[in-house]
Amino acid sequence: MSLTDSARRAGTPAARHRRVSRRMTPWITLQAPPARVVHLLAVLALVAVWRISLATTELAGMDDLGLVSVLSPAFFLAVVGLAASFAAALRPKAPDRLVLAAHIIALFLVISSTAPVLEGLPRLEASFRHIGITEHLQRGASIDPTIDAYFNWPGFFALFALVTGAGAADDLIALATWAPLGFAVLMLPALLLIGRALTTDVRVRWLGVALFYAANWSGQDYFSPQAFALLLYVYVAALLLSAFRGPVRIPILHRITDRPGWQEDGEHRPATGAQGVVLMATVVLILLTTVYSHQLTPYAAVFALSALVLVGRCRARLLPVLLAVATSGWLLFFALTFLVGHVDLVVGGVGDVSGSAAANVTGRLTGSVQHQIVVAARLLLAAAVWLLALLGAWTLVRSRRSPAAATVLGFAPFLLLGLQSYGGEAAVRVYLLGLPWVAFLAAVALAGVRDRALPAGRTALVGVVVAALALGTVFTRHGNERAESFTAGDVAAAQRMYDIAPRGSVLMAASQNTAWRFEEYNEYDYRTLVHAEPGVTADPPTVEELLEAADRAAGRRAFLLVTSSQLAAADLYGTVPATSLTQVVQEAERQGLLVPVYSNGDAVLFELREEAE
Amino acid sequence: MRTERDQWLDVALIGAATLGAALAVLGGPQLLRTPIIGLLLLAGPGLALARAVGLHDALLTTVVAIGGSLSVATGIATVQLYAEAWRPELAVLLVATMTVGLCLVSLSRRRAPADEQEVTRA
Repeated sequence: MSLTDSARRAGTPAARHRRVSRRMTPWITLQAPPARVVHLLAVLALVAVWRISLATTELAGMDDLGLVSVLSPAFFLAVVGLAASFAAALRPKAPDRLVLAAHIIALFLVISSTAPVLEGLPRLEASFRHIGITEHLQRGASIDPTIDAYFNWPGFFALFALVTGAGAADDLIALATWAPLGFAVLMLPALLLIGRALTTDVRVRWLGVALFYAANWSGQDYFSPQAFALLLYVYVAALLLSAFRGPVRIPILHRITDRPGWQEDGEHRPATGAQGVVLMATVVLILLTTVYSHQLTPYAAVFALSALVLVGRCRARLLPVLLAVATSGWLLFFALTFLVGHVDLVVGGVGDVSGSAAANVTGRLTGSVQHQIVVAARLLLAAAVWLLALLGAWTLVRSRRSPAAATVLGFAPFLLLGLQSYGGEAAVRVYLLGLPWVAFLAAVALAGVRDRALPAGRTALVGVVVAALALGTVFTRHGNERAESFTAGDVAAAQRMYDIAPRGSVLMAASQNTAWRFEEYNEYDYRTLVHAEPGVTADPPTVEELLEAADRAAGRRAFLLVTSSQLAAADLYGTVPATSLTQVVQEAERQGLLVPVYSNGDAVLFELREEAE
Repeated sequence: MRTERDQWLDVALIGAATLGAALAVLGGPQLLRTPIIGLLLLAGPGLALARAVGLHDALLTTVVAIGGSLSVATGIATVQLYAEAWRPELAVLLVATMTVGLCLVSLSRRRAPADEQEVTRA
């Protein structure tokens, strides 16, 4: 702009009005705070209410409904308030992105951090195992694929062994405790990129992100390879949708996916030249990282990317082929030890969809009545989100926008059910792997496709659905909390066990829901009396079985750890009555076979005697 | 002005990568090691790569930075473990070297148009 232009503009009535307005701004601000400040203060206040509500929560009274049985009304008020405030912020035609971002951060903070704040320890027995493997590798141990399946896909553990080995973190237990929050934060840029690639409607983008966090009840975001692999997979999909989407005309199929008059929504920024090469190289690098980091995710990625290519929404047509070759190659060359010992596990369930569905749905409806309510609520929540997503796809079709990309990515993981039941966990993974796109489609269903402010009814609907999903997620995610959480006493007892048990000893737990193996992962012989898991029932153990598990013939010292978390798991999942576990321990103690060597309020550590007294 | 600011970002990234490598190899207070080495492993080489090819999209840059860097760090650590050559400090050094190298590419790319402009003015 030239100086003459500036002088001319400065003299116009409009410019004078702008100067006057700027001078008046502070007074106006004082009299009527802008909506942004009001919203941000509301978010801060609601987060404060949430945090204060946790300070008065006592975990001791928890029943089989999980965490909701002890949370105070203020907690629920904070969640509902956040949902209502978010819906109000979403209403204008051009909503304030900073305000929406603040709400979403608050939402995932509440959902991901409630358990870490209350319990101060990682949830799930697997978290402690993963800590132990990381610690094992960090000490410079070589990859021994015969130890267990984890050592055949070691990427995640290698990364965190590097993080701790290089001194970036010195407390793996703290790292694992806050892992859900870390994964939630890292997921945000990829979710926003996906939203931007799929729609130009800012409200749908942010609502999709909010629904992802609000509906993520699976609890798979703990310190685990699957959480890491999911993150990488979502990053790959975000890059592909943003820079390599197409559309590409696929013979015959394009008649279904590219109907006349349909338009492709979203901001597509095709990558070409050097940028295209580098972005594709990054996509390949990230995909290959999933191959050696987790068993299941690469297969889901093969299905989803193949589907994306088939509907003409991925220019990198050979990518699924490359991934399939890499995944098979890893299985045959680096995971051969696992494959040889588990051929039936890997291929035995192929095509058995009904068996897989039974293991994933009806097979899990066992245990205490309250636990069955939790499982039923999970199924209901998943079905509701999938139904909303289908409505969203239909809304797109009716507005002549192509739903192809989001629909195939959201529903392609269902093909995993035809591969294997994955120990009854495949359905959870199907839900989680499709959730970013299912949440987007659900957002379309709720916000609709419109170029004006949301009507009051729609705004209320958004608030109600976000609140219901967030509360449902808190309920279902932490529904097994009695069996999935641990106390400082549990960890102290395990620590004491490692202090006194010589390497090579037999370490036993009443059930596998035990906070152990977080150190000396491969230096002991770990055994459990009962496998307390969803859908598993067993006969009550006997003293003879206890002695057999201790493997006395080998002449090693043996220890038995009994904790309140183990007993809760046995009861909650209905595997055996907890009293049968305490009875066998008491009987062995009466016979002089077990001697208590350590105890606290939550756990007792016994050592097995050489001979009965 | 924009070019100068961009150059400062590259210089800052080079400084952080060098400091991270030094902390990993020589040691240092945990208060420094956690953020510097942690961020280097989380986003260092990926961010440098995004800048080296001139990505100006903040969201895309963030995804490339994190996804690329985590993959690089995971790859190096896994190769070291399989090769029975576990040296975490060396892995960080390698990550830092990649970051610095890519930043130098980025700096040279940005300098080239500036030099051309000066020639035109002269």
